[in-house]
Amino acid sequence: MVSGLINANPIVYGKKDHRARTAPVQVDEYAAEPIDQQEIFDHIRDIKDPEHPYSLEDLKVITEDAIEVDDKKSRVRVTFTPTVEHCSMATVIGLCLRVKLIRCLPRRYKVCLFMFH
Amino acid sequence: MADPTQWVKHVELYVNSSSTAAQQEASVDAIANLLKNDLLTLEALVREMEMYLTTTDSIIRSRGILLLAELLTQLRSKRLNDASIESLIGFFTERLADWKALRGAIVGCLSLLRRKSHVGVVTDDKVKAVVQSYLQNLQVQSLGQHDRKLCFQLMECLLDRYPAAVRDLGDNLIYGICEAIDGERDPQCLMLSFRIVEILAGLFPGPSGPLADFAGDLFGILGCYFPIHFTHPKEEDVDVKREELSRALMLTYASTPLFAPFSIPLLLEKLSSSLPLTKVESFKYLSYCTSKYGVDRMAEHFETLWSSVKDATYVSPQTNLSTEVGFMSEMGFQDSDIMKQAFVLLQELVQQSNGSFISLILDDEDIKIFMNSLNQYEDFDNIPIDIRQRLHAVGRIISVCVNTSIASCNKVFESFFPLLMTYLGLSVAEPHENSCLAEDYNPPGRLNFGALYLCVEVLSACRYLVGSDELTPIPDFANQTWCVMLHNVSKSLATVFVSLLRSNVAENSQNAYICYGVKGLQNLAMFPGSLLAVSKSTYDSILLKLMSVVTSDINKTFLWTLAMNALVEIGSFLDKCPDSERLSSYESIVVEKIFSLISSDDLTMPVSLKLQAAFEIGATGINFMLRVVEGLDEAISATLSAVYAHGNRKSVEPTIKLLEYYSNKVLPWFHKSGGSEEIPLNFALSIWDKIENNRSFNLDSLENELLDATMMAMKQAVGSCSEGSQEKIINKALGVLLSSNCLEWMKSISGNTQSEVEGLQQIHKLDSFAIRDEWITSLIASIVIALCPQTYIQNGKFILQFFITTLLNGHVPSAQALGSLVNKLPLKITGTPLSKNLCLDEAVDMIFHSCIWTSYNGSTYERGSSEIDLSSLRLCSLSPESDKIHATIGLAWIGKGLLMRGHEKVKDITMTLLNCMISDGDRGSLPNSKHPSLVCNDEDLHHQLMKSAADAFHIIMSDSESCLNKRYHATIRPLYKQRFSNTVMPILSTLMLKYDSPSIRSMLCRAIAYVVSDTPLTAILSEAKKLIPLLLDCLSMMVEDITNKEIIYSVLLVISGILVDKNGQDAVAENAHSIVNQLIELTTYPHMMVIRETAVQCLVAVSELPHTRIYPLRTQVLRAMLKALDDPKWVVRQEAVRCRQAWASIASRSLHF
Repeated sequence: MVSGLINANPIVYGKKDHRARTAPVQVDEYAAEPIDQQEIFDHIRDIKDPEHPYSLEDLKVITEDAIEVDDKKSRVRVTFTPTVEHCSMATVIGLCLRVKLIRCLPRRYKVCLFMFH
Repeated sequence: MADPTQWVKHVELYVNSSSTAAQQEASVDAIANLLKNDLLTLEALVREMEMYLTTTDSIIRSRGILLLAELLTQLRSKRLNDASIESLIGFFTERLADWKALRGAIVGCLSLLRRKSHVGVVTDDKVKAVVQSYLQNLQVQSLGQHDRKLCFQLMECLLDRYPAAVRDLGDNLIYGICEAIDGERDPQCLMLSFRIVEILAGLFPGPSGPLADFAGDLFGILGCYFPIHFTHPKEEDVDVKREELSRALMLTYASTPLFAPFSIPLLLEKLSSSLPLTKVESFKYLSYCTSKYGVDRMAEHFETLWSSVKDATYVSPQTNLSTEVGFMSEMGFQDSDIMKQAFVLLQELVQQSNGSFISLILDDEDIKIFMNSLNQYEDFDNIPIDIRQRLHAVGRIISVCVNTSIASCNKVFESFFPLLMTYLGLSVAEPHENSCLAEDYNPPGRLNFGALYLCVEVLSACRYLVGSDELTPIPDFANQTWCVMLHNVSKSLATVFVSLLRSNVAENSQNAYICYGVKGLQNLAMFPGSLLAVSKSTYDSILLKLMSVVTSDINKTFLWTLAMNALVEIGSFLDKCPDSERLSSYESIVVEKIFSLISSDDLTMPVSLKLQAAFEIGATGINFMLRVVEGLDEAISATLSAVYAHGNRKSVEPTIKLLEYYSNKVLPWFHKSGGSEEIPLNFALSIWDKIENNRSFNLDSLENELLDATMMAMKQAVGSCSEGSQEKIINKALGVLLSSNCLEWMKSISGNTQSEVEGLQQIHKLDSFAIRDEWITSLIASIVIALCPQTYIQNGKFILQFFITTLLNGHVPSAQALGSLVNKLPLKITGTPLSKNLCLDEAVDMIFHSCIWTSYNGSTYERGSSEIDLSSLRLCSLSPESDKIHATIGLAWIGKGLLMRGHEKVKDITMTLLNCMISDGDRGSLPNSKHPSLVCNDEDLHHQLMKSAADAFHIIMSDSESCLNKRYHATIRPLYKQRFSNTVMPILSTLMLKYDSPSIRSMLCRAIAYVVSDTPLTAILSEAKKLIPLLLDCLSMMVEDITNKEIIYSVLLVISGILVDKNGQDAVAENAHSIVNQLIELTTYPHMMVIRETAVQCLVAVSELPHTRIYPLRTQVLRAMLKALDDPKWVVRQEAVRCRQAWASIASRSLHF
């Protein structure tokens, strides 16, 4: 068996700044703020890649645009892109994402994960 | 004489290597004391110690010698005779050869050599012997760090204190020093060795002295230290900083011109290093060396120096584009450290070289080509970024040349100024050639931006040159070439700058033009009038233009702010360098215009902008401010008249703004600049005049905002006056009060309250209180609130009585004024007591025994009993509850005033309030004769009374903005909150145990919450164990009522404060279960997000508690967090994720339960 990294030299894209949530001046105590793309992204952006000391955001395995949320129907769908095709680590990444999301989201949510080809 | 057996044991203790450091120190002190008090002579000591000083056991010998040396160090200020000094220094000099016992010898030499002349010093012969022994015997570099340091200290002391003695040694000395410092690495020793070389260089200044031969060798040793760079910034000596060491080395390099042939090439070579730090250091060293070596030594390097400066600034500039666009001064560029140091060097060179260096710059081909190519980049947008950087660099180079000296300034003007003017379409030759430029001149097409930029830079550099103080005597600027040139073009230049401001386009690229147009005008206007460079008419036209921008271009924010700033700069320049002609121009054009702006009610310019302009201009000088304030006063007076007399609604808003500006900006400015107190005094008096003259107010009672603003301004004004002025104001106000209807109104009340119960119903109608009377009352209250403790109040008793009456009508400022009164009144009146004067005890008596509290009391009230019997008020069936509510609020403020000065009567007030809260029980005493519906209403009112008694604790404990604070001269005893909390909390907690009626308990909880949330956390932490159950009770009690959310939040903050504190955690651990239950309940509190957020955060903190305590709670918390994960608010969900993680990981990582 070949030992060694699947992708020894990935491209590092770097992070976006954590977008600050701008609080409106007049806060409405009772208005609901539904769970949105950015919130889901904040949960999973810092997960470390199984091979490298970079986060999934650094390697663009996940992006904010690849997340679809429907708060009313309690559905979230994350599409992730492994750094190389046929990456054998894809399952591990998928598992990491799923566990993290299950822990961070309310129980009513159904989490779907897709891999981009 | 002391018995030898006494002190010999100290010697033995010191010499003994097994004794501790503290013991050794103590024995040195003991012997030194004997010596200092002449109980023991040095001779006797030395004789007794002979064995220790001469034994062959080197360890004991070294300890013995060190003891003697330490003793001499302690005797530094005791006079010793010459013979002892001579024999001692002889001994130590000899011992320098004894390498096994060296330290004592060095310390001994050092302490003897450092002696001051009046206590006996070492003779020069002996000094020479020390140096010789030093040079012969000491192998400094083979010693340990501490010994090396001592050796260097010895050498430094020798060179510094005995230059004459050591100079004779010449070559030997220099050679010895070279040997000693060669290869040194320790920062502390390096500091000393650099210093040694510096002193050495001072000893042999001559070019033919012994140092000349050794300069190369010596620099060879020093050269390898440049640049100073610490590889391990943290681990190694923190006591010597890199900057200090670098500075010491720089001083050494520059210590003698003999180093120049070696240092300059080295530094120039290091300029090509790729490390930025090295470049910065090289430039820094070069500028310092230039100033020390003198121009002759440097002349041969001029060309290399110029090319390296040019390289760092012009060819490959390192500037950062500053992110702040808008108020950029340098087209948005910020110089790097390298560039800054390069410009410092440039300035030094230009200053030292006397003209030869500047011609290098002016004749430089690159610069010339660049200047000639400016035509290519006419439009700002089309200039590429690297060209902008170059433009910036050239601008900086030229301004450095201009602001260094008059001669260099002239040269720059001769070479570049005509060219720049040609680009701008002007001629420097004769003024009349430019006269074709009409006032409304518009430049053809786009103006050459490069030329504009450089021109403005040159102008500001000239201004700097004129303003620098170093030029004494002040030279005759007016006949200098540059001044004549500037004089010829200044008028047309101003026209060109003005034309830039006129452009109607608000696009971004115009900003650069506008910015430099305004800057140019500002610079032109800031040349002193005596210079003749800028004529009066030009100056006036510049001011007029800027002023017209301020008054008319209010929509162009960028231009407006720039023009405003320029005017402010010009104003503050006038304040610094007064010039009568300019001053009168500025006053008539700018200040008068501002004056007329404020006093007119022209609405084309918004009031806030007017006020901003007025304040900024005024703040540049006291005279301007006085004039501006005059305008403000007039404006306020006019609008107030309009409001009072004619009920003009439109004027209300501007008046409020004016008053706010007055109290927020103008008065604090006068206060800060130590200005006269006439301003606030006159302001306050004029408002009272206004009220006096308008007998009837045409106002709605709705104009409360206006009243608030007026009260605020009145408080501020009174607060910043001295006692004398305050007296004037209060007397004036009293006059108005006495002539108003208030008095009759008051009489009617007191007449009623004396006996007739039936009349009671009428007096509580605030409607009878006319608007004007309300104003008068409120404003008098404002005055009283802001008075100084020393101010004498005439008719004090009357005022007090008046406030008590108005207070019962629900007038809160009156209550605050009463609180301020009792806070500040003197304890006793000194001098002749007048019957109308007031001292504290009397006032408190009056308040407590006031007929209004007690009149329905029948006979039970006794003078001197400690508690005000508020319940007596309640006994009267017809006395409305609303009255008591007002009384409670009044009591709260009075109590606060008393508490803050630490008066004991506050206890009585507290007890009254407590009684009021628990008075729910004896409902039965209510007369049954009432109509059932009335009873119901009465219940409600009674509840409100209890609530207001509980709220009184909030008033007492919290800081108030509107009264009783530092600004209004309150007497504040330190820790008063802590003290109050310590007395009240035990009472409240016992009452909690005693009563179980829910309504009483909820009131008690309220009070507890208020007291606790304003007590300093440290005080709470010590009581945490007792408090936590109480606080939890409070929370569970108050969750029901939605209006309580602010209190809940503040209690929650206290709990979180306890949770995160180390000491608090013990107390928490015991109650972990109940705390967690309560917190979980709050995580679903629907009415306030921060409460939920804080509750979740508190739960995270709880997870840090001991494992055994919290493990059983785990499932409960995790279940609650599941709910919190679905919270409507994002922040709460975020915290819930954290909390869930924290609690999940205290056992296993699993989330199953």
